[in-house]
Amino acid sequence: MTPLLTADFERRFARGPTIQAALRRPVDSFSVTALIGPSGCGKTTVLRCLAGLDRPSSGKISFGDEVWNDGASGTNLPPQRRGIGYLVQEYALFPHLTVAGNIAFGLAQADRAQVQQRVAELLSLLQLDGLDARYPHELSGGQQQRVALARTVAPRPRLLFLDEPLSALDAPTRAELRQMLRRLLAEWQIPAIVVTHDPVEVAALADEVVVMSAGRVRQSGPVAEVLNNPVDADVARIVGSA
Amino acid sequence: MDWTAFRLTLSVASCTTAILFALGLPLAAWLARPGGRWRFLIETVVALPLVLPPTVLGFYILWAAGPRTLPGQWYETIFGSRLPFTFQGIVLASVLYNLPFAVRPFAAALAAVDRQLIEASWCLGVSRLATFRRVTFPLAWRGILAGLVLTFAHAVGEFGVVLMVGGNIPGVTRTLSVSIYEDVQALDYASAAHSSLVLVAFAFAVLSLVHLLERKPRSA
Repeated sequence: MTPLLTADFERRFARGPTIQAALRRPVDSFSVTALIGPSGCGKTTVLRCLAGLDRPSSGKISFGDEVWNDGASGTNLPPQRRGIGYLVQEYALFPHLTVAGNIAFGLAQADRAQVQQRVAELLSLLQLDGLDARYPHELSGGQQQRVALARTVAPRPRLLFLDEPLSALDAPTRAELRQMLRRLLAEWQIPAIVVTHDPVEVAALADEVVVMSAGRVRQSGPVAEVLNNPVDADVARIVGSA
Repeated sequence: MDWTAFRLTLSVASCTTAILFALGLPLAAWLARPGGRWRFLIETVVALPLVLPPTVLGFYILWAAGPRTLPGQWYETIFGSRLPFTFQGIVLASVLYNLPFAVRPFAAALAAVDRQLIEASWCLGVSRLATFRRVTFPLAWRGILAGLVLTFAHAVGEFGVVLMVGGNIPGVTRTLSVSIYEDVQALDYASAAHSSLVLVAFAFAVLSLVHLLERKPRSA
């Protein structure tokens, strides 16, 4: 049996919409899943629930044979114990730490030599050589983005959540990083779920796509299939094939 | 000037500041979290000493610490003495009275730390306590230090509640502000003027320091 990430939950807000998620993704092999939808459709809420930063009102999330969240039994694993990586749109780099300090942040501090080696390896892989002593405010947007990515993957997470990873960048940098991102994810073999509102990113990054609109999943499947056979005009508009 | 009172004042203020750092920081961290339906009640209780007359607080401390109430009896069984008119008594009074001067700046400083940074740390597998130590505290320390300095300064100047709970025992509960009151009662204006000038100079220095701390040196 393939280990799966299965999520079937609802997140209700007191004065706001109800977000429903239904997701099944294999997590023992590499694949990138894009979660696409217009802004405000609940993509980020779904990602936050998966990461353990928000709590579903009801339903269940499991990862292989681990139960991450179960509304019925009240189980809710904190993000620290899910073994995941989460990258936000604004990067959230620690302003009081250097580039090296940021990248090493999630690594167990025990073995200093090993930490230094891992940091050096990521610095060169993400073309950040020579920037290790800089502070985040001394970096360009593209550099900050790569530091944030390095920091997220440094502890070797089992699953990556990327929330609009390229949206805060200018167009040329975005195009450059889009290609780099797909190549790196494939190299690391870390399955990823990427939230985006940009159909170009879906085509360039993802294998599978989940289309959300107004708080619910409208269609999901392999990218080509969804692009070629959208279930309705709404989905077609969101994935840009209308 | 009454040097015994001066030293006593510094010890009361130091103890108050140390205790409020230890107790006020967790309380402020709890208050700075988002959400919480009943949080406003705790916020109100913390802010009460700002508006209550010190005599009211002093009266309740005397009542609670007296020999006829449970807390007072427990204290006497454990420590073998009573709280009112002792050094420990005025420290307790000073801690309660200065609660808002520590907790409110702490909570403001902690709440100003970007929530995304804290969540990023959790997602990197770092525990809540370690996240506080490695992210929240380093980013909020200026505001926390400003709160500590303000608490210390305010504790130095405390008068009403100290007089209520501690009385006016030289070397035990007679702080500088109480000694000024005593000097004026005894028509010793020279000594009162001396002590007052010391307190003014001290307050000026402390408030300058707080304002310097609150001025951000660099933005990230």
